[in-house]
Amino acid sequence: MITYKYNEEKIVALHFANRLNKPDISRIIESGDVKTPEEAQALSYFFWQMNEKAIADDKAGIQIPCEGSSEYWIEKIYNSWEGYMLRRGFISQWDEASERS
Amino acid sequence: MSQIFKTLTDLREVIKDFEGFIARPTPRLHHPTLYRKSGVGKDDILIKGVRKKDFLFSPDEKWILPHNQMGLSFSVHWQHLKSAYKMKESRNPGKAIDVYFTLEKSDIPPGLAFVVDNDNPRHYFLTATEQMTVEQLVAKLKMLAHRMSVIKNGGKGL
Repeated sequence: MITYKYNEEKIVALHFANRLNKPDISRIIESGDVKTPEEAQALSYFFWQMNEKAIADDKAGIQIPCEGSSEYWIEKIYNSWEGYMLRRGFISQWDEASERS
Repeated sequence: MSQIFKTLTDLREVIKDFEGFIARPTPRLHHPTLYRKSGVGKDDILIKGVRKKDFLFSPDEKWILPHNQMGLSFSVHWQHLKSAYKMKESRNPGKAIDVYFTLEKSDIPPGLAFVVDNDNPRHYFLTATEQMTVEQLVAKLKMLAHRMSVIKNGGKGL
């Protein structure tokens, strides 16, 4: 299972999955587990799409549903998801998305 | 010590020579261990240059309480550092991002310690190991910053 240090991480990730209209990503986040390399790849690329969307939303004055900045929470999500990908054996998908995004 | 890189490939070549590096990307002219308002999101709260969410504050916000999974974030793996760099760069378009680093075994001020993130071995926290005032923490963070080395982004503004 994906381990979060703070509940807000999951709330923020779901917020951006919704903002980007990614129901498949929402389902992965809700389930708390990545089951296939394809899902790992999708979640990994989503991370960087979320980062870009958060910057655009900040500029547009669109707030996240938690106290604190999107920058802070996205850094937290990065650490949680990367650690999960390491444990789960999907770190190559994670690192590839980081390289290419 | 100061070195220069122009691309992330250059940076990788420089940083890999430092076994046990603990690094933190920082926008040019910003402090490597303390924040100013322009260095954080508008919804982040700063107390004397310390981001409130980074450390465990007492309710009156005068004290820092020890916590082994809270503190400033540092990268101990190239891929983590590269991603932290890219995130910082994306939030600071057009600005040079430098990389400050120390070594795991180097002396750090008493009351502070680098601790691995229980959920991600590529990520460390610089934690408070004892109760201290916010002013004491700030002094220790300045002391650590003074001892850090920097690799400067020579591609922008040097």
